[in-house]
Amino acid sequence: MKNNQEKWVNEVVESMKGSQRAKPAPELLGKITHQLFDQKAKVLSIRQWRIIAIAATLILALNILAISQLSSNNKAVNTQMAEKNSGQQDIISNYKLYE
Amino acid sequence: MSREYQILKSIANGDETAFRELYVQFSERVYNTALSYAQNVEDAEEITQDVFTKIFRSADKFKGKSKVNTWIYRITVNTALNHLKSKKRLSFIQFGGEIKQQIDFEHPGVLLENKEKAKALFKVIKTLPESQKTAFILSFIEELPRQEVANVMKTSLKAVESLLQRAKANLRKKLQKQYPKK
Repeated sequence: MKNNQEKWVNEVVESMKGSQRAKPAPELLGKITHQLFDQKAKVLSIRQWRIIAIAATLILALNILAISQLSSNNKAVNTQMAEKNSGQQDIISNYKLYE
Repeated sequence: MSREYQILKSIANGDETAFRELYVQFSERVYNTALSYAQNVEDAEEITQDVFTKIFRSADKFKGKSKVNTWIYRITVNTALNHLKSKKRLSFIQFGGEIKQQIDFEHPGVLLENKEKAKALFKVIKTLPESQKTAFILSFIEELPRQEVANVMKTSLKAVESLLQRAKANLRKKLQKQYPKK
């Protein structure tokens, strides 16, 4: 039994011996030469489009994150400014001696 | 200067006829190797297209330090491995690490009596580490001499032999595990 299995495994490992080479589709050469010699604009494959879409989504998400952080920072600065201004108003009103 | 080297020089000058000649000479080797890695026709064609585009764009960089055949095999192996990596990354993004069920690959050139065995072989080849996979594909599917495999992989003959021993041992172990009733 074990010998049979070993024999089978060896046959599997050697199973591509004497096989023929697979041939590419005849239209592939035309596709490649068209891309290299005829076409001015680069044609993107679906895979490249997917990668571009993922990259664009990432950039968009990062931008949204940056804008939201910036606006929350602005709010904080505005509050601080408002507090500061009200403090100055107090001082100014304190110097209005003849009112 | 070899005829292939002359063809590459002409390709570097933008000669389309020379490019077609090189394609006729090497496309089967490139496609067959790509098919062994990708195990599907669409990906193998995409890899072949990438390889010939790279050959066209870097023909002027070929200095004749290695054989043209070795250089083209090296480009093919690197392109195929990169293709597999990016496909893995993409499927991880799309399916969140879930393994997609794939149909067993059937090599179109295999002898009829070896069809089932070759199917089992390709199923386990996929699981080999990169360098073992390359050594095995170039030696046992492309049937390149060991020294040529070493040249393609930029390593020593001894290292290739050791990689092949480990690849065979791994394949045997995996085949026995996956097909215990054979």
